[in-house]
Amino acid sequence: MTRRWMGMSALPFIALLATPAAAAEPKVRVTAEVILASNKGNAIDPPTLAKMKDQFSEKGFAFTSFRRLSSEKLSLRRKPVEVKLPNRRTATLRLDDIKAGTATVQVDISHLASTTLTLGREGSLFQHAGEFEGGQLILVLSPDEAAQPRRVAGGSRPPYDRGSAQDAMSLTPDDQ
Amino acid sequence: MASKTACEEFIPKLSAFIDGELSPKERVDVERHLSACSDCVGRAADLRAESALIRVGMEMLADDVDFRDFSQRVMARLTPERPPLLERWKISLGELFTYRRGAIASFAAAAVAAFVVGAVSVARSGMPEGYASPRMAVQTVSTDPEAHVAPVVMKSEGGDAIIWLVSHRHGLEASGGGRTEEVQTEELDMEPKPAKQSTPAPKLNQERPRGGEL
Repeated sequence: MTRRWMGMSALPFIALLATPAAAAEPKVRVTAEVILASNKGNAIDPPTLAKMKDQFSEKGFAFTSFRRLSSEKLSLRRKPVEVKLPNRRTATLRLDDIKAGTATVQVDISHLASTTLTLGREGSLFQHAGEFEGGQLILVLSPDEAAQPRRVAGGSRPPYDRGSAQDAMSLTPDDQ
Repeated sequence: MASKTACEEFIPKLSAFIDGELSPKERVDVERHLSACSDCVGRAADLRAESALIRVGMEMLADDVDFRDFSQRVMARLTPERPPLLERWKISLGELFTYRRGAIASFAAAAVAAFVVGAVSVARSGMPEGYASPRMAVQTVSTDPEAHVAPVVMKSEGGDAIIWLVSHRHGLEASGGGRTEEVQTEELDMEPKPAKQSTPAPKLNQERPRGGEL
């Protein structure tokens, strides 16, 4: 009987150890958006893309219109995940590896380019993905919302809509 | 042939002998007597036949009885009024806390320790998996040779990375698409090993690539 109770006492520990074992397969979550940047009109849809327009403008791009065509929250594993682009290309995202807690992700734009990046809590990847309807498609890869630094006030905003680097730093609780 | 006196000693034991109730020594004695006494062999045979008849008779009686829910009926007689669930719980817990205090204490301690370990583990891994680095960083960029494009990697003030593909066919000149002025390209946390570019990317700050149509 004592042995049975000893076994029962070990149950919480066994459950604790079993939880990570069950979730052993590596997985990272990212947000993938497809943006159409063009010079047709001056629509910014949604308005949060205004910051992206500014960022591109700073780099010399004179696109007047930014429209979000799609937005997906993806769970990346070793198995590739495809995002269909409207220009008949496909963006294929795959988790390469996780080393020291940092994930390396492969982004392939079919018949165009392939990028390898390491994920971080801040920053976004704007990957040019070809032409579409006279504009340029941009695949925006952003960190999972839960990974982004918490803001003191205000609602959730897309990662690229964070203001300047100094602003972003001032918004983190650690700097308060 | 055994004498009558000997038979008188063994006759009372025959029934027990047939039922297998004798000690090994008595059994050996009876078997030895039977080997020498035909009268007692006959008596034993009669007893066996009687026993078989009684068994058959009992079985016939038992066949007429409905034994469905027999155990339930017996238990119902034993505990005619089953206490309600709450009462049974109270009794069980009372017994548990009376007789198993040590075990309960160790179980509680183990649960608390597991909770603390779990809480620490969750607190340490507060962020999702894969986001240990503070910022995203581009490691390599390569292009498809058939696409005749070269990548230009730029870094914005906010720490974002822009990877733009410029056409080779247009000699890296702007082609009416997006760029209106020269691009000041910047390296973005690239790893020391060069990008595995299928087509050479424009050298930063040398060729001054322009974005545009592919």
